[in-house]
Amino acid sequence: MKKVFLTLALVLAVATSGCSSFGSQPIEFQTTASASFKLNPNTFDSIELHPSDISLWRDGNIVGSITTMPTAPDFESAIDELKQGLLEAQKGPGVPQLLDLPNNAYGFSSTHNGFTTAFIASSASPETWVTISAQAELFDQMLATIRFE
Amino acid sequence: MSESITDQDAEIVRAIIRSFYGESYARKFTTSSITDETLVNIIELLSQTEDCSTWIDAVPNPKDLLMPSKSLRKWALKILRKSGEPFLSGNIRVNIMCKRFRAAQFRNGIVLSLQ
Repeated sequence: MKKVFLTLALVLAVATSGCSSFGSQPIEFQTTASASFKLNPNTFDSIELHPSDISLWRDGNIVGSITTMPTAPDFESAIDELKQGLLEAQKGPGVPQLLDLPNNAYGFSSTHNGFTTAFIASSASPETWVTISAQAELFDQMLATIRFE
Repeated sequence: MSESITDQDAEIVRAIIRSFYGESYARKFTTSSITDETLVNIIELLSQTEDCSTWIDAVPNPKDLLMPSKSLRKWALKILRKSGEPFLSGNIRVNIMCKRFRAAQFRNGIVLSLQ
């Protein structure tokens, strides 16, 4: 009887260990550029709100940021602006690389001083695009989970 | 030349940061939060965005950019005090494409360097 009880207790502990990780579900970020991505909650512990962006922090250090940019009036669409932006980024630090995105999206990224910055737009939202700048762990999660409407 | 970061130095740094990234980021830069790494990163920002602003005097002289082997802070403050003045007086306009696509790549590294 004692053996059965211990076995049941062990099974119960294993079965409920998933429940104790309820707080570890990935957090979805939905942007106005019709793109969403997910980040594991243990990769940041606080969020700072700024007028047009949020920054993510862990242990008092910035680990990433997400900026929403309105398409500049000189451009017909967000993707148009990013294509010009690629030429601008090539004058800066790092070596911009095109991102492998679906046909209705466009983006590129460049790495400098420990942060990879991606510039991403979707044809579904011509009026805005996003800049996501993050350290490697966060950036990899973002890129692996990014989805477009 | 003072090797301590003075209130004036912090004001110059804030003016530069404000021009590129706005007030909400500028206020993070104080005499106690700015490190030597912060100063070097900002100098790199200025030199990498030399064609982005309307005031040529803000560009660090390339000769000055050869980093010394010692007294890094003295070197960095010398450059910032010279190059940063136009930002303080408000005579700087940073090209919008430069802000969005070049300067954006520097920001988080600069913020991370603060203590």
